[in-house]
Amino acid sequence: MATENLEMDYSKYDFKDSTEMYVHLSKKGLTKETVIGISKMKDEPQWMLDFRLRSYETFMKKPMPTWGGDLSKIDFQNIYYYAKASEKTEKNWDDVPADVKNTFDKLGIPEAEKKFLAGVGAQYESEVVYHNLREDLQKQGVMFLDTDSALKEQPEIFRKYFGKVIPPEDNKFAALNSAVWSGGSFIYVPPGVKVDMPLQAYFRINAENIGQFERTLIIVDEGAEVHYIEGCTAPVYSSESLHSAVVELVAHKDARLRYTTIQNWSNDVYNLVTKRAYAYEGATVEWIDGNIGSRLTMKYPGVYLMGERAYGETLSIAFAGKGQHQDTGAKMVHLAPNTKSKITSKSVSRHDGRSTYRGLLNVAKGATNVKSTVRCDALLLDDTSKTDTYPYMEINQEDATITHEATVGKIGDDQIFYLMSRGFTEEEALSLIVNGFMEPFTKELPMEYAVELNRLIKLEMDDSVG
Amino acid sequence: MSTLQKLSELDESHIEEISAQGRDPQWLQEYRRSSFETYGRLPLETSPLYNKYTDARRLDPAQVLLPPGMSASDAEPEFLGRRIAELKDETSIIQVGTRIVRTNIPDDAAAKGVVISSIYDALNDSSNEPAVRAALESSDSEGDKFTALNNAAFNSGVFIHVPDGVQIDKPIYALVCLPQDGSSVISRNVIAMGDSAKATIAQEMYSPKPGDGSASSPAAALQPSYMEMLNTTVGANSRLDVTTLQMFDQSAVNFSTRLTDISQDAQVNWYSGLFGAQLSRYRIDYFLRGSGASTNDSEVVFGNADQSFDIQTEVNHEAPSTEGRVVEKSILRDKSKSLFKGMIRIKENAAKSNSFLSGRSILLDPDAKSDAIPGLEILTNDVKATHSASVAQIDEEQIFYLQSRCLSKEEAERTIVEGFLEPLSRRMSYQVRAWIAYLIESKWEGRELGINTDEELAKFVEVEETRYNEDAEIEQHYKYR
Repeated sequence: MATENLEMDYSKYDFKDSTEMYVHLSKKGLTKETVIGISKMKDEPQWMLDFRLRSYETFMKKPMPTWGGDLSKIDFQNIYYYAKASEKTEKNWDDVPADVKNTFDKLGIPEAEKKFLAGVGAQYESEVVYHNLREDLQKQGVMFLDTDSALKEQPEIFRKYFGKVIPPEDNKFAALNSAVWSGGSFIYVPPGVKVDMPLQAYFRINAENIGQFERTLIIVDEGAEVHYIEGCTAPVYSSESLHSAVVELVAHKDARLRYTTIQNWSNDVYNLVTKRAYAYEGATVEWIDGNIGSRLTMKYPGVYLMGERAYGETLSIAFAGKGQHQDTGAKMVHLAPNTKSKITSKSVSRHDGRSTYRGLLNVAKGATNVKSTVRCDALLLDDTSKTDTYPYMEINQEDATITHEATVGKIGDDQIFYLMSRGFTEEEALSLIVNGFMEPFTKELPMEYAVELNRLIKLEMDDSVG
Repeated sequence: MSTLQKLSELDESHIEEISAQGRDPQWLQEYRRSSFETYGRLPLETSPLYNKYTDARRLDPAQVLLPPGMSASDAEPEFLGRRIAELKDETSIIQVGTRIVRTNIPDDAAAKGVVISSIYDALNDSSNEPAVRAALESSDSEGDKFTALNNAAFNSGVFIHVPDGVQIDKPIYALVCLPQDGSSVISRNVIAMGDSAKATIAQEMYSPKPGDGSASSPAAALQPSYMEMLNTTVGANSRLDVTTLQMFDQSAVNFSTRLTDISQDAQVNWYSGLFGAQLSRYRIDYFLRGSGASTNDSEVVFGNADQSFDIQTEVNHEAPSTEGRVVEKSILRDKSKSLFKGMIRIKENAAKSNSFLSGRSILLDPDAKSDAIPGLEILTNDVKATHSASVAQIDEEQIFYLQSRCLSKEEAERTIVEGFLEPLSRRMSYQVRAWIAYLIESKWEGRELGINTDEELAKFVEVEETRYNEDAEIEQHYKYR
């Protein structure tokens, strides 16, 4: 890999726009009125309001989790739960309000769309501001909408799946999202349709102390295929923002679904996300999950293997730098015979960053002939960095074959020495080794993203020597 | 005999009664009182990592009876007569119920200052009291409900002290048997090893069968419990080998918590064979406090019927260049269940440490169950830490192959299980290997569990000794080649 074009200016992400032009900014804090207000503004049907209120009650009742990262600094009353910068979702890039457009232009969204995407959505604060889908896919019946429009335009299919994979009662943050959700992507791929290019969404937090609660629902019908990519960024502020998404995926019989996330929130964002997929008979669900940014990420993408021969895979990387805690992992629940799963987790920590792998592997009674492998590798770049591994395994069926392996290591001085003897600087050598360590992950990404990720890693690695 | 106290109705007066009978020093009375308060407050599992994963709730405090103070029957149980007779001439201490019924220390060992006594004798002896006090005070009641219970209500125990520079070659046997009346025992055991000392300790645990002979036999629903807290300190350059053989009747419940402090360049090898009790909950914590300290912990679990084993092993690397190795292997039949929670924790200053943790289970029946959580918490980089876990059923193809070689299904299973344990047992002395192999055989054939130096055992010793010598020969051969 050539290194010369990897120079990047971090300020690409670190710019902020004024909130003065916003169409709507909710009051700070969470009350029943906030929830009702959001629902009213969106002109939602009664059942959704009821769902939101039920979720609100659940959220208030549930205690904060005592495990995982430090959540004590989150002040739920100091957060804007809803902000709207634009009046409606645009289909033409030129119609997007200037300052919002500016943001995404800086991030390079329209170029990316032209180049290699079949469809793109962009969310700015709470609302999706731009959405587009290739015409031929539309003709085949593929739906790619923002979640709010889906509720209006596809009420039947929406109601059938919404909140079924992750009910609000699942955990405190899923309840919070269910109460105040706004935006996100909705995708439906009809039976047999194979979407050959990835669909993409981009999420952006702009204002300080804002909470982004997008809700994504993807349904892939029998024998269909889709690849969805999302990217997330936010500028740097000194006080905390909260991103708490819920992502529900349903892969029907023999469907294939790949979900790729590269999360590069700024280092003051709490990223507390619930992601889960149902994989029915013969279906394949893959989570490709990159965690570079945020102060604290707690994210454990899961696959419930509901039908025979279903396959679930999670491939994740985490990069924990100064002041960061990446508490990530995966959850595989085998509910049917002959199901397989694979978890690969790689983490790099440095500058007192902490990376944690926390995973659950559950084999239900009656799920015979299950195979599962879990592999976690951690790389510690200096003596203040930390890593933890908590693999939970619950095996209720005797004939399961389960293996778990983990290694923790540091970069060998001899490896650095070798590369330096070949003319690399120490920093380049380090960067190369880390890139090599991440290779199994990066090679699963579309090319643009792989380059981007390598840049990010390079960026994170700067000044790591000495 | 006076009335027994239910654990579920335990109150301060019971604690005071123990204090009075043991003539506790002032500090201990207070220590018991504050620990009792903590006990009442703590949940069954304090760690947020494991609170979903504990079998401790199988303990029914209403079925655990505690003797008032320390009194309990002290008759030597008949079924152990033979074993006790065998140990007569060995270095040994025998506890039945809460009483120490026999101690035997050879004169030469006593002359070197080796102490083997009841915990109370140690508390009342000015030269031993500091060691006991340090052990008690290093066991934080806040850490675990049952540590708190033990701190508050221990009513018996054994104290073993090996002074600086003393090496004992023959094993010290510490045998404990629950009383005939079905009451429970809360023991505080302390092992204090000086610097450059060496010792081997064999712990044997028994309990009578309910409805066994005597009129006062425990009712079936009772859960006679052995609640142990074992504090071990090992001085610099010392070596300690411990074998724990848990052979309780399946009516019994066994809670053991071990805290082991290992100083610079000292080594501890601990072999545990868990066979008995309806519920065994082990918390095993090693603290590698000095550079070069090492521990090697091997655990064999063999469960049948509806036994459950809840084992939590933690190795804490607190100093540079320390080494840890934990290997747990469980064999589960019928509806038995094992839960293995392992943790390697390497502190900021423990550079160049090396640690290995593994939990493996083999399930012989469809209803057997095994969960494993092998965790790591690594706070610095220049270390090596690996862990692994696996759960698998016995391989049908292997059985088929062995059957084609004229082994019966059961023989085939046993051969495979033997092979499963082999890498582990290679680390043990042939004596320990023989004991464990013997107990596995006893359990497989439904014989009573117990160590008796009979022909059967002699057979195992012979096999293992030959194998052991073979290993040595092979090694030598290799060395000189």
